This record gives sequence, C-alpha cells and structure tokens, in this order.
Amino acid sequence: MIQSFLSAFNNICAVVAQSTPSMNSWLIVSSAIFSIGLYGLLTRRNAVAVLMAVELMLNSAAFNFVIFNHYCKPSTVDGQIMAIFIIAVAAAEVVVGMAIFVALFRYKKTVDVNEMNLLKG
Amino acid sequence: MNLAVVFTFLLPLCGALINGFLGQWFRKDSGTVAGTIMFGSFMCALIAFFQNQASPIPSFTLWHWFPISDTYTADMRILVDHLSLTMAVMVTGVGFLIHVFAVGYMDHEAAPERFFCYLNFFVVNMLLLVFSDNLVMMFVFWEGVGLMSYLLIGFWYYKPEAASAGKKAFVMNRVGDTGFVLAIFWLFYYFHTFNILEIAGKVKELPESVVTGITLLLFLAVTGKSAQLPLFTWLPDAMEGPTPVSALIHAATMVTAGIYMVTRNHALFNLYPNDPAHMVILTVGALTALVAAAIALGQNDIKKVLAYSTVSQLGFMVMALGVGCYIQAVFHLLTHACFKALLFLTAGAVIYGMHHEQDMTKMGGLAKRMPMTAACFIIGCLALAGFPLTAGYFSKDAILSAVLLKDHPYAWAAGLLAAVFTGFYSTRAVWLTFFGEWRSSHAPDHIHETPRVMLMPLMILAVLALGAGFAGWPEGSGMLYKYLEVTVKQPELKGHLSMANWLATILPGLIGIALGLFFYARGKSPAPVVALFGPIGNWFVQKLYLDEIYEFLIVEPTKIFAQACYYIGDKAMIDGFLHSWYNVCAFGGSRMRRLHSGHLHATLASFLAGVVALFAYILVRGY
Amino acid sequence: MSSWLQASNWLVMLPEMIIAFFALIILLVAAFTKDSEAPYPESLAITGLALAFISSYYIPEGVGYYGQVAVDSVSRTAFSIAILGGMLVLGVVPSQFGTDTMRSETSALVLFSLCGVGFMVTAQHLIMLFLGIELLSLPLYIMAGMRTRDPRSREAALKYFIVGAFASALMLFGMAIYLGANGDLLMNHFALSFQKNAVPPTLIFFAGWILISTAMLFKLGAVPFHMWVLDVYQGSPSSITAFMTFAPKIAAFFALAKMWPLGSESGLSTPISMMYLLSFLTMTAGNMMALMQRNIKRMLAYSSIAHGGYMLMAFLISGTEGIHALLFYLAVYALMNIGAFTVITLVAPSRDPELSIISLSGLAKTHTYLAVALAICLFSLTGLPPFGGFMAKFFLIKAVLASGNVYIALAAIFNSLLSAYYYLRVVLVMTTREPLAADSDELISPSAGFTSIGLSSRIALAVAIIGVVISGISPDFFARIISL
Repeated sequence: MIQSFLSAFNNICAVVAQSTPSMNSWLIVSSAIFSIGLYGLLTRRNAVAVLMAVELMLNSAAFNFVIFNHYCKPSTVDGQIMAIFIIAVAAAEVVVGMAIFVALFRYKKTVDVNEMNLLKG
Repeated sequence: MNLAVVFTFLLPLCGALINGFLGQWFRKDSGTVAGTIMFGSFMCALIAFFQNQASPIPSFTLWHWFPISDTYTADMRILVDHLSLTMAVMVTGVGFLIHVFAVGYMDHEAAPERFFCYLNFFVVNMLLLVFSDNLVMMFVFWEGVGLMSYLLIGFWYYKPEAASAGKKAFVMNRVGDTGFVLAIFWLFYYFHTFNILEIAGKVKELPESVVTGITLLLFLAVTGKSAQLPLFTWLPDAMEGPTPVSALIHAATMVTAGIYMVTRNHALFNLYPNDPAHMVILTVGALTALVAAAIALGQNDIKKVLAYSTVSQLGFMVMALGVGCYIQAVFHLLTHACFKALLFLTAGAVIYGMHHEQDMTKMGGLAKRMPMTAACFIIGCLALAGFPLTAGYFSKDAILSAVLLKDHPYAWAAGLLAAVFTGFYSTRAVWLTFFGEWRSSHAPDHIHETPRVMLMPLMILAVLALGAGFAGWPEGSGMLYKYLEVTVKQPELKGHLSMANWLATILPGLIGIALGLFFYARGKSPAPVVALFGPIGNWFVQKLYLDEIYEFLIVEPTKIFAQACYYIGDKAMIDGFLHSWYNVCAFGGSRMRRLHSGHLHATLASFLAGVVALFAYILVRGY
Repeated sequence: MSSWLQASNWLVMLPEMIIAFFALIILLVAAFTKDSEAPYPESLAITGLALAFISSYYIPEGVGYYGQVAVDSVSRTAFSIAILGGMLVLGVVPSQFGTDTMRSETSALVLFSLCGVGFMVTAQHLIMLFLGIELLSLPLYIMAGMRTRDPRSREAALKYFIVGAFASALMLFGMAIYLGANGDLLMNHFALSFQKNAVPPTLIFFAGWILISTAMLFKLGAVPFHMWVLDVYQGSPSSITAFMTFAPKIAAFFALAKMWPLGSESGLSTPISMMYLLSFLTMTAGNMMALMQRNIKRMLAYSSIAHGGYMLMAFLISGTEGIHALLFYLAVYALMNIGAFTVITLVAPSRDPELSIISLSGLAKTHTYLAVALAICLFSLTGLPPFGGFMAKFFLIKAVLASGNVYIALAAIFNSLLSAYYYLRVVLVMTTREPLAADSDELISPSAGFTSIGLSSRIALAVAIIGVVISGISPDFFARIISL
C-alpha cells in the first residue's frame, strides 16, 4: 500500500520534472499567494492572522525572486540569495511581531485589531 | 578680522548671555559683571580707535548670512572707519559709565540680572548698528535697539504706565521703520546691493526724484528713531524706564541712531543738496528744536524736562543734517551724549536720593545736602544751555553758524529762540531742584550725598561735558573735523560770520540763563510758569496742547480711519480671506480626520489606495 | 584573505561597523548586569556614535563590497546628520525611562536603527536596501512599544509593525519585479533608465519602481501613505518619537534620491508631475489636518508630514542644489523636532498624559526655559527668521523657484503661513494662559523646571536649540559642521 503510494508519487514528480511550465504559470501561482495574503490582511481582525497574511505576501515575493532569477538570468544567484534573506528577515519580523502581540494581549486579553482604538483623530 | 573690533561687541554679548542664563545665581554681582565687561569693551574700542589711527583697519566679514540673489549675499560684515569707530568709542565709553552708575542705582532691585542682560544686549545691538556695512544688517540691529528699548522702558512691566510707554515707543517706531524698509527695497531695486559703500559709489546714476523719495523715506525712519516731529511723543513717555536706561538709550545712543544713519548714507543725501527733502529735514529739525524746548519750559517732572530737551537737541542735529553739515551733527551728537548722559544720571542720583520722587516742585535746596551732585548737574546744564567754552557751546554754535552760512535765516532764528528757551529751562531746573527752600511735605533728613559708585561716573562725565567741545575747535578745522573728514565728505562752508551774527549765536544761551535767574532766583518760592508768561505759559505747561492736537487731528481721524480699515480692510478682507481660508482648510482637515479613525484596516486601505493611484497615474498618463 | 579585504574595500562601512559593535557590547553588558546596576548605557552608545562620526571623517569615498555600497559626500553627510541626531536623542532617553528598565535595550536599538540608516543611504544594491530598511524598522517597532505600562504605546507598536510589514512585503514584491525587468538587483538601473536619451523603461520596470518607491514614501510619511505616522508618533515614548521624526526620513529621502529622477534631468514627465502631486498633497493635507489637532504630539506628527511634503519638493530640482537644500533642511528639521519632543518628554510626567495642547498652559511661568526652548522650536518649524527653519525653507524654496516650479513654491509658502496658526497657538497657550491647578505647586521659581531635569537631556536640549539658532544666523557655519 505504502509502496504503491510512493511509486505513484515518484511518477508524478517525474512528470512534473520533465515538463517545463512557463514563467507565467509560476507567476500566476505567486500572484495568487500574494492576493490571498492581501485579502487576508485587509479582512482579518485577529492580529496573528494578519501577521500570517503578511507572511504569505513575503513568501510570494520570495517565490517571485526565485522565479525571475531562474527564468531571466539563470547564470546569477541574486534572486536566490534575496529569497534566503527574506526567509531570515521574515523570521526576525515574526519574533518582533509576536512579542508585540503578547505584550498587547496581556493588557487587552484580545488581539483583535479593531479593538486598537486608543490612538485616533 | 580685527580682534579689537570683534571683542568690542563680543564682550557685551558674552555679558548679556552670562547675565541672562547664569545671572540668577549671582544677582548681587550681576551689575559688577556687566560693568567690568563694558570696561573691557570700551578698552577694545579704544585700542581699535588707535590702531585705526596708525594704519586703517580694513572692513571684514564676520560670516555669510544668506544669499539673496546669485550676485549678492547678505553678510554680517563689519565696516570699520573713522565714523563708526568714533561712535563705537562714544557708545562703549558712555555705556560703561552708565553701567557703573546703574550698579548703584539698581541695587534695591529684585532681579538686576535681567536689567543688566538687557543693557548689555542693547550695547551689542547699538555697536553692530554702528558697524553695519550694509543696510540689511543695519536694519536688523536698528530693530534690535528698538526691541531692547521696548524691553527696558517696560522693565517695570507691572506698572501699567511703563508697559504702555514701551508699547507706544515700539508702535511709533514702526511707523518710521516702514520708511526705512521701503527705502532699502527701493535702493536694492536700482543697485542690486545693500552695501552702503557700493551704493555710495553708484549713487550718481539715480535721478533726482528718486533720490528725494529715498531720502524722505529714510528721514521718516529718522523721525521715528530720533524723536522728531511728528513722531517724537514716545520719547517723553519712555521716561517710565529706569533712569540709566533713559541716559543710555533715550539720550546718548539709540535716539542718535537716526543721525548716524543719515551720516552713514551721506553720499545719498549729498547728491542734491537743494531738493525738497533737505527743506523738509531742515524745517522738521528747526520746528522740533523750538517746539520741544518750549514744552520743556512748562514741565515739572525733572526727567520730562530732560526728555523734551533731548528732543530739542536732536532737532538741532537734524537741522545740521538738513544743511548737509554731517560732521557738525555728529559733533553735537557726541557732546550731547556726554552732557545729556550727565544730566540724566544726576537726575537719577537726585531721584535715587529722593526715593523716587521726580517732581521738581517738591524738591529745592538740595545743593546743601548733595553738593557734588548739584555741581555735576549745574555743569551739565551749562553745557546744555551753551554757556561759552562748555561742550554744548561749541557744537551748538557750529550748527547754528552753519545754518546761517547756508543761508537759512528762518531756521537760524528758530534755533536761536530754542537756545533761549534752553537756557531758561535749564536754569529753572537747576534752581527748582538745588536752590531755594525745601518744598516737600516730608522732612529732608534722609537725603544725603550720592554713593560714590554713582558719583564717579558723574564726575567723569562732568569733565567731558566741560572739555569735550575743544575736540571741535576751531570750527571747521578742529581735531574732530580733520578726523571725520576722511570718512564723511561734506561740502565746504563758504564765507565767515560777521561779528554781530557771531554774537547773536552765542548770546541766546546767556539770555536764557539770565532770564531764568531773573525769574527764579529772586523769590523764595518759585513762580509757576503760568504766572511768568501768562496764557502762553499755560500752553507750555500743557505741552503746547500737542497731545490734544494730536488727539484731535491725528488720533481721532486715525481712529476713524483705523475703524474703517479694521472693518473693511482687516475684518472683511484680510480676516475674511484668512478666516475663510482657515475655515476651508479646517473643514477639509476635519473631514480628512474622519479618515484617520485609527483603524488599522483604514490605514492599510489608504496605503493600498495610494499604490493603486500611482499605478493608475502611470497607466493613464504614460511615461 | 587580504586580497578579499582589499577588493571589498571594507573601510567604507567602518562607521556602521563601529555602531553595530557598540550595540552588541551594550547588549552584552546589559545581559551580565542587573538593570539597576547598568552604568549609563547611553554614555556607551554616545561614545560609539561619536567614534562612528569621527571615523566617517577618515573613511575614503568610494564603492565597497563589490559595488553593493557606495559612500559619497551626500550619503556621508546624511548619515552624520542621523548620527548627531541619534546622540542627542540618547541624551534624552534617560529622562524618558528614568530608573526604569529598558535603557540598555533602547540604547542598543537606537544604534541598530542608525546602522540601518547607514545601510540605506549608502546602498547600491537592493539587498542592502532591503536589509537597511529592515534593520532600521525592526528596532523602531520595538521602541514604539517601549513604554510598557502605557496601552497607547503597545497599540502604536502593533500598528507600526503591521503597516511596516505590509510596506516591506510590497517593496519586496517590487524588488522581485525589478529583478525580472533588469536581470539583477543593482540600483544603478534606476539612474541608467532615467538618463536623458535612454531607452524608455518598460512598464514592468515602472511597476517595480513604483512599489519600491512606495516603501520609501511610506517611511517618510508622504500622503496617502502617512496614516501610521500619527498613531505611532502619538503612542511612542516622546524621546523615541523624536528619533522617528528624522532617522527614517533621512534614510528614506536619500534612498529615494537614488531611484528617482531629479527634476527634468530625465526626459520623462510622469515622475515629475507625480512628485509634484505627492509633494503638494503631503504638505497641504499635513497642514490642514494639523489645524484641528488638540493633542500636541499628534499635531507635531501632522507637522512632520507637512515638512516631509516641503522636502519632497527637492526632487523637482535637477542637479545637486536640491539635494544640498534637502540635507540642510533635514539637519535643521531633526534639531527642531528633537528640541520640541525633548521638551514634551520633560514636561509630560508632571502633566496630562494625554498631552493635549491645553495641558501646556502657563508653561512659560512654571518652566520658563523649557517654554522658551519649545517656542524657539515652534518658531523655527513655522519658518520664522532668525531660526534655522527659515533658512531651510528659504534655500529649498529658492532652489525650487530657480528650477521654474513657481506654483509648488507658492503652495509651500501659503502652507507655511497656514502652519503659523497651529504652531503659534501653542506658544500662545504657553504664555497667556494661567498654569493649570496641578502645576501651581511647581511655581517656586522661574527656573524650577531647569534644575529638576536630568543633566544629559538638558545638554541635549541646549545643543538642539543652539543648533537651531546657529543654523538661522550663520547657515554657512552650520553647513560646515554637518557636512564634515
């Protein structure tokens, strides 16, 4: 059972590897991720969810770097390095963000961004 | 950059800063600090003066201020020449003596450091005005001395009279300053420079009408700052300030800034000596000299007498300017600085001794109790009245004979009459204060000689009031003339006075003194002026009803005009425009504020909208 | 190894290295001492900044790290302005946090943030720019929330963080597009594409350019990317707000200057008219909304938006004149804001924590020196001579006029007029209103406020005020100080 599943997976991978999808199809995937992130950012009220949405957008950007690197100038590694940097910085950002959320949660017992209404006008 | 010159004004600046920021921790000694610093400044001025004798000190730039056009930069530039150095020595010297006097005079004050900070800062402004090499810088410090004068008149700001006197001085000076600014703009329009010497070099290119216009505008500034008709009424009110301030600012230095300014720009004034502007200047000067002297006859407040006398003497100087005799004007400026500072300081000493009583009718017989002070005051009055061989005699005589030689007999006659009045009111002031009987209801026991710290400056000034006149003797070729001629080019006076004319020039002072003695020295109690002159005397007491005339002719119509301006111009047009503009902006602002609800999603949405808008802009407009 | 060192020309980054080194030292010291024993971490930080400032005198101008960074006189001056401002802010930090914890952390974070400024102004490669902007922003997010007991501070941190992360994401997306359009991430493609007679850039290039520029405009608070400014300035601790007013602006302006065509030097009209609009909108909206403010920090936040709008005019000027005017403006602007926020820092504890303008009533009587200092800053912000704000506006507007953009210069002048209304109202409140009842016990002597505040913030305030005055009286001298 497991054996057959693995062999099927291998087959799929082989098919994907042999076919060469165009840059556009990759870009559509990354744009879709970006849009999902944007939508989440604008609609989610939970700060953690908003942060996750931002992470999606960052990742789609990193994805884009790799795509453009691969298709436009495969001889260089600029985009790939940038992707690695993005992963690292995104991690740092999550740490800072979560720290802020925790500090806020201690005080408000909620991380609903609509409850953040002390500063206005 | 000449260090002596720099330190001349840098030291008082340091003094002002020290007293201003740290003074509260050494209140009692703040006057000593300021006085010591002024001594240093005076020494620097003297060193610069003698250095300049040996080899002329070039002008130098302190720093570049800001570029006005591509070709011209407004600089802080120091102009060192004979004229500015003479003025600097006078300002620092008299300033130093007055600082010393003020140490004694202000010793009961709660916060003397504020006073000395202002006083030092005034000296800085005055020195930089004198050293200005361009009109912008001169205007800045012209305003600077005005500001310090305002602050010092209102030094006792809790007294409503002092506060309103300060305001009056400030507002009346603004009228004159308008003329100054317009003249500066007008000159810049033609020459694209503010530099005084450059303007002097190019000034011949100007047509006569323009020169007349500019000189009249400049003279408007002079009438404000140097208290000429019709803008002089602020000066008597300015006597609300502490007496050392009256001596320094409203007698010796600031009010003479107008005279200095005209002398500094003499190239402009020399150009068309017979144009209407000169007639205006001469007439205003002569009238001021006469009117102010007449008013001084009727005053009982000792400081008011001196204030009107200052106005009158400034009128003499302006007369000299009107006939193009700048050196004579500066000569009178210098001697006047000595004897008027002396008079104010002795008056201050009397007021100090009398515990702030200024009414002369409540004094009398003080000569017995304060003999040195009395001697100083008498010397000052002799110089003021133009008693032969005192300082005032030489300088006033120089002006009057110059006016006559330039063939202006009416102005000359007005000057003579003013000189008679001068002799009379000075004698009157001396007699009422120091001779006769004690007239106050309080016992005079507490009155004693002035403390030594205040007496020393008086004695030095008294020597100057006696001797300073010899600097300008013989007339037209004396030391001062030779010295200033290098800088100030004025047309030579032609001809000589006949003996009778000469007598007529020196006699009025003596006549005035004799009249004064005749009326006041006879009786035990002084006759009021009204009794002496009948109804005319009443005019003098009432200041020729000038305040009332002003009230009727100027203030009331101005008020109506101002009301009209206020409702039509200010309320309807300016405020209307500004307020509607404000209302539009505020309305828009309050609407926009609603967008700033503080919601995170609103912030993000506006961000996104901005990005979309930029994209749309590019797509719509192309690139 | 040595050849690598030579080729990388690592010296160009020496000031940043010194700053980062000192930041790490401060963190180490803080980790091994108790909070109460931490011996003035600010002094260590200020020493580091001073060393960095001095070292920037000696480092050569040039390109380093294989073309990733370039130091020229403009970037060096911009960075030294930020360093000097940072030193002043660190002087104020002790008064803000007192004996509280967090002083070591704050000092280290300020240093890291300044390091980010250095990266951004010298960056020649988008990786450097990205690292710089993150290094600048992450400490700022934390510092915004540094006033732990105040819910406003935490809220400000949250808002700043989320909006900032969103801006980063957009910027990264733009950078990816830029990579797609140009094939690499070197920033000189901007300059090449905007050259006169260059091949017109493609639409995809413009897409990347807009997204990256947007992040910079966000950092400097241009309308409509400005909303975070208000909440963050208001909620953050006042001394940190002082830092926020200038450090991100300096970095963003000079990063933007590298990717935006200056004036008409490119043949393209769209970037010019776009900047025209942005500048006009920013200054007008900032001023209009400041009119209605009752809260002093929020009012200053709007004012800083408006000043950002004035400064954006510098991009309408071709050649170096605009950039120089911008440098001068930023330096004076940093000093004015440090001065104003320092006074607010010092006054706040004894007054209304909401910091409404009315709470400054009678400040001239209770804290004379502080009131004078604040008044000087406000006069300068209005643009009155003889203070630096006048000179800054004068140089900028003069250059704008010389470049032929009359209308925007007029708009700036009218906006300055309008701004007098809300700045001078604060002065009016300070001088004419009676002190509030709560302060009347402070009415011991006019100098009471002067002696009861910390020495270091007193010095910082004095330096800022002297700077504001000197820059107005002798701009040449001031320019020589800041431009090394």
